[in-house]
Amino acid sequence: MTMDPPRAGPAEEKLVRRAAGGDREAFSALVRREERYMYALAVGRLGDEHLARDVVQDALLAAWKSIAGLREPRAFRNWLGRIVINAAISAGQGQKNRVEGHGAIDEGIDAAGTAGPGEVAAAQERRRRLAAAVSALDEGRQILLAMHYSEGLSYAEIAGRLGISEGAVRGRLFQAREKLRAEMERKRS
Amino acid sequence: MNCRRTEEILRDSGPRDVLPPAVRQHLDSCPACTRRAAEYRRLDSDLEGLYAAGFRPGMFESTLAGLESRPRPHRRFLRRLTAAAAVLLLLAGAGIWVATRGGPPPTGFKPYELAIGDSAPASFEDVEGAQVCTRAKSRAVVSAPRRVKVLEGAALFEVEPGRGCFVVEVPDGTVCVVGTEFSVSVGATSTRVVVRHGRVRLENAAGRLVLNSGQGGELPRRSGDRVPAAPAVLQGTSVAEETLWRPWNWLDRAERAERLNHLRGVLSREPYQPRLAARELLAEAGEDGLQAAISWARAGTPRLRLEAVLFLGRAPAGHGPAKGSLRAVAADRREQPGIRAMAERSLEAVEKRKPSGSRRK
Repeated sequence: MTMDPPRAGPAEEKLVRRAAGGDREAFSALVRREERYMYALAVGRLGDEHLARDVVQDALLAAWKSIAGLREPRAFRNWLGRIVINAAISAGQGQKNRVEGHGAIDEGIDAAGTAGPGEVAAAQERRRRLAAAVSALDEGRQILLAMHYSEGLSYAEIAGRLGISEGAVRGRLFQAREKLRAEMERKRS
Repeated sequence: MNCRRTEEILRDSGPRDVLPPAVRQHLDSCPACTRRAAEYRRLDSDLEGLYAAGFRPGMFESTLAGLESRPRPHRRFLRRLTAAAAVLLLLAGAGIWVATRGGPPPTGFKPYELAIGDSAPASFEDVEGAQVCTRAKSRAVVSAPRRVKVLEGAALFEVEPGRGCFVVEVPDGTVCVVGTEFSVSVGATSTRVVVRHGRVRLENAAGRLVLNSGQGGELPRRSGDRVPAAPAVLQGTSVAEETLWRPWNWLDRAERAERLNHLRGVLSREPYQPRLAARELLAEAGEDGLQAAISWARAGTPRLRLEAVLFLGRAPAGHGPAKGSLRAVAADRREQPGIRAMAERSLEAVEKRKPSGSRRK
């Protein structure tokens, strides 16, 4: 699935131009707005919060190095997202060679501290399976899921940012959720 | 409201959508749809949990703080500069052509060898508009104005723009630049070139190759009388990795951040030997290295956390933040037992260490 260039505001475009000219403060201001989104893309794909943090840090350095070459300031968000996803793909390939279970995401699974070890393990397993299912989705749907579930954006807000219709957002998210549900169901059975 | 319509609405609704009263009414009376609704809500909640796990606002501030502003010329100015550089290149082209084919250097210039020590990791010299940092035990000669021959070892060049072409000769060809920063490393079978900023052109008898920022290339060595292979792009090269020999106190802020990030990657992922080397490089960074290890001890892969607590065991006796970090890791019941045990051992090592300069009574 391909995405159209997003509709960045004039203020954001100005920041992108300043960042492309080497202004660190402008770059920091831009990525501060996107940190949740970047992290969500990485953690959704990798299912490992520590690795996701590393990936976003690597992606930030890569983005800072290459922002001078960004021709279309409106495409900043998509461009940044693609850098994170590429970094996550590389990190994910490296992760396959490591011992499984290290750094698994368990934060928030038993925030109250009342669940037994079995319940916590089952919830961890479910989260791992979900991350694997998310990473199997195409890039565009991963971006939509991150915007909707991590940033809490409505269909209309996502449509506005990506420059596509609200119906398209609704349809693509629906397909993404159906795929995830089917995949989770298949793994459970 | 029937089951089919209810399912359509359930599938279409997001985690924060309020279901219409007719759907809620149907759910009250239909166990199958209630189960299905619970499935959808569970998926929504799992997705929210997945994306929120481990996220803290401002968690990348330290990375952002490590970046350094690098003013770049305005586009219009850049266009003018490019045009001027093109004219300069045309004018300089004939001269370079003669010089690369053994032509005599301009009169009045006396070639000289760069003074490169064996004991320090690297030497630094200003050579006619270019700053040249050469690795210990290298050999380099300034053969003509704005022309350096690297005969052995490795060197990093930072060439000021606007002063014409700067040529670096290596046994395997030439590297021509207008304004950029790059490293050359003369190896046993080829010369490696990695570009930090700008563009460079590699040339040998078989062809040319232009490298852009972040790219690496190789000039293969001639074998006997055979024409060498044409210059080729090297995949997976990194400037940080290629220039690890440069001393920490000669790096600027961005380079320091880049090196720490590189070491972080090595300590997180690589096998034992590279990690061992990375620990030594981190030790060179002094207080910066300790501060990095303190932040890594609480964030990163388990391998990185383990390496960080191991490294913090080298901290001086009076280093409160290192001891505090080790205490926190040792007391963290959510941390892996192996890492906690290593934190305890490191803490013990730091506390046993005598403060430097202390005297016995």
